[in-house]
Amino acid sequence: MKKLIFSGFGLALVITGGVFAQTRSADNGDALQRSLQEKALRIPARESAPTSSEQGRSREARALPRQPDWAEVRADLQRTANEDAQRQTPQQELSSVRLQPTTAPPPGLRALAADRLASAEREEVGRVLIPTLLPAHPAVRDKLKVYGMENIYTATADIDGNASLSITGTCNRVIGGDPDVVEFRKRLAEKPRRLGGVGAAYHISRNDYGVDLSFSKFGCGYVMTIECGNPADDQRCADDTYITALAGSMILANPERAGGEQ
Amino acid sequence: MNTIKHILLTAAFAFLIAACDSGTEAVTPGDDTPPDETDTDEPVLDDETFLTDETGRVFSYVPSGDLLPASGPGHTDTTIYRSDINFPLEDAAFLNSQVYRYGGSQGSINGMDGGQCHTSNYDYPWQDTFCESRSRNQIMCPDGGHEGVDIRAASCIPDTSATHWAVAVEDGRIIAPSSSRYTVRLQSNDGTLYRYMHLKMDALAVTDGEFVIKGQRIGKVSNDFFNSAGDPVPTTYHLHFEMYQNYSPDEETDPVFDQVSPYMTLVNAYEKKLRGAE
Repeated sequence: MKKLIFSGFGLALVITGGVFAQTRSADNGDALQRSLQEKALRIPARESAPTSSEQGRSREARALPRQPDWAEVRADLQRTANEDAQRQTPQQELSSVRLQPTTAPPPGLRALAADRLASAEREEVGRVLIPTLLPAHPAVRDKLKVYGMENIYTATADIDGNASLSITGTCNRVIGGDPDVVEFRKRLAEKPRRLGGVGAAYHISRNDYGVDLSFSKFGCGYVMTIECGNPADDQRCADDTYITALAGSMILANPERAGGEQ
Repeated sequence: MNTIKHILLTAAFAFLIAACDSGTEAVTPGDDTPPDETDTDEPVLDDETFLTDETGRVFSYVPSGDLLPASGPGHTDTTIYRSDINFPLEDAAFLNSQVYRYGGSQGSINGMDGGQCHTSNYDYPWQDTFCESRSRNQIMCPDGGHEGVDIRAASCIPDTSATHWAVAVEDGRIIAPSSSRYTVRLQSNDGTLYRYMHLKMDALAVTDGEFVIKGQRIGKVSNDFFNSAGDPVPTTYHLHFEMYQNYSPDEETDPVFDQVSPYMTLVNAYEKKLRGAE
């Protein structure tokens, strides 16, 4: 009997503890919201643009319009043409090499005129004033849709029902800003990996929808994205192999900007 | 003797449960956040002297990189990358976590149990969510983090059925092929790429490839999303907003074109909006 009484007492304590804990939990949420309000920054109504100046940092990044290094483009095209000639392999065949991790095309930058792209309107590529790099994989190349503007372009392709690709490039830059970010970015730039094909420095990020590969070439920046329905399990997004193979296969879609198709 | 032991054990057990549940209290804000930098010698001002939104509420924001407890280390970046853009929503908006607050899957960690329409989700202050904990390895969040910011509209759509428009932050071109199932991109000729996610994709106000002007309506804030099997699964009602910049720390270093924290850029844009300067 005594055991029963004590067990009941224990149960009551447990229930009380649970209710107490639940109340505390709600209190925690309220307290947290109050603490956010207390430390939040407000902006005086009469002053202009005081944002984050409380932290005493130089914070506005500077836009830096940049032209691509066309001399480097021409040099890369010529070097690749020479190397291909030594291999005695027709260029068109090379640019159509099927992209498998073990059968990547030989390194180098090759040119392909816009009118050879099945679905990328010549007008779109013609609008772009910077090196328009597109992946050479035939399955992707024939599906590319280009969105051209003078200083930026994006090309997209539906790889299949479960994955899509896009690449965006621009030569304009943004520099400076938060000193801590500047330092972080400098450290990041010290040890880049290099793409096998065009020899560009690159970085990989994974995100909500897939994987990004950012690389710089000819003074410009490019970001290629593979979006997957299931980024964690689809090897095209979960593994670096697929996206690095695509990025290593770039062709130049507007060689006339560099002085003619090589 | 056994009786005393039993009482002590029971009491200890109950205490343990309460302590476990209130474990979040051990991670109170203040413990892992920087000191309040507003505590300066500046004169105390009343609410009327601060910038307010159209409803008269004082706009406020938690500093960049100061995330909710247990939601990741964050990434402090006070940079305003684009000082001339519009805010991406037409009306008032609230930047805060979709995951670690009311209505989010991890809200209970912070004692924020409840639905997404909880009033405090639709109030100031804003809070940064760039680099909020995720399993992904974004460049700026080496331990894995959220690569954009989440923006709630002026009202909670499930409650109000209101329409809240997302707009073009600057002149540019829309990229919205059918393969982008829950994403609309906007590229500007200056070299910025923006991502708008979770809009009502079957009722966009723009077409794929369209050239748009700053402020033009793109689509309605909604909850379009997909699960890992590729099936449509709603998320909370919000706009996930990303900003890619071709960024160099200086003029000599090669650029990296990737996602940057848009938080302070949006604070700046919202300030202009509240001042009527958009």
